[in-house]
Amino acid sequence: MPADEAIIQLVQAGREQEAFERLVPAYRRRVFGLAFSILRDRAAAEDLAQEVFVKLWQALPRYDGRAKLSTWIYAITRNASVSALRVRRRALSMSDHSVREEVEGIAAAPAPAPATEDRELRRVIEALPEKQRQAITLYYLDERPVEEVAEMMGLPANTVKTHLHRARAGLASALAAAGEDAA
Amino acid sequence: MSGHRLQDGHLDPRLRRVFAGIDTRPGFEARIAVRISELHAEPANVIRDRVELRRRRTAQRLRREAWMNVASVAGAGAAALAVVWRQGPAVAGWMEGLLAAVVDPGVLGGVAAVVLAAGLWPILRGLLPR
Repeated sequence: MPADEAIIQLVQAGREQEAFERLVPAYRRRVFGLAFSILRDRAAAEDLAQEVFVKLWQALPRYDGRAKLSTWIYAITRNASVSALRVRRRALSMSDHSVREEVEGIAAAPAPAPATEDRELRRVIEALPEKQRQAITLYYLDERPVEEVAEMMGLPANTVKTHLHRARAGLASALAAAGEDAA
Repeated sequence: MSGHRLQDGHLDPRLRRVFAGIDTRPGFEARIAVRISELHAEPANVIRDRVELRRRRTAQRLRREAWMNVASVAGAGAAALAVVWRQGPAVAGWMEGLLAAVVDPGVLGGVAAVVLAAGLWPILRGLLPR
């Protein structure tokens, strides 16, 4: 990616401030999207994306260019998201079961409701296995190519393709079972 | 980045709709800048707060210990007075017995040796290899 090369050159020239000013707009959507695909909560994902960028600001002078910039950023984002998710689950596991179900239901709501006819689709997306749901989210959130989704998830592209195929099949059959046509 | 896309004519538009509009709130970059500036400003505030908190806790602990010491001394004194007041003859008898035992040369020598050892112990401990 040309933007990455420019950022890396700036870091190597010791101009981290400028590098960071380019990095944030270049990665804002992807860092947020990756966090959202794991946390399933927009506010939490935004907060985590902010934390990730602060971490990147601190770590940028130590970036040595051995790993691809995007791979490095995605790894930091994934680790931070998984840790945050673990903390959230632990907090929920300490609360009453019925309250937990309710909170998870609220936290899982992926978006401002776009249209009532998509409510059922959102419900079946939330019922997908974790990796399938994550692949579908990253793929459709910004119309990303499979290869980029794979890099973001830290998985081989073929594995992501399998997740996407299974997710679509699962969604179609769940919608059919709910008496709805996927079209 | 040109890459592979998988198409599903039926679900694609609906899935795009479901995920449309999910984004950060406006001012995302400005909020990061604020967080970073707080990061730099934080140490002085944090240190000042921590020192103040430590000073307050130490003062509280010392006050508490002083009260405990006063209460302990007063309690022990009051208890001793109560015992002497209530059990005067018995205490006098017990003290006489104690004095008679201490006056015994063997017991006196033993007590003196223990007191001496206790007094010298801090010095001896400093000389012992660790």
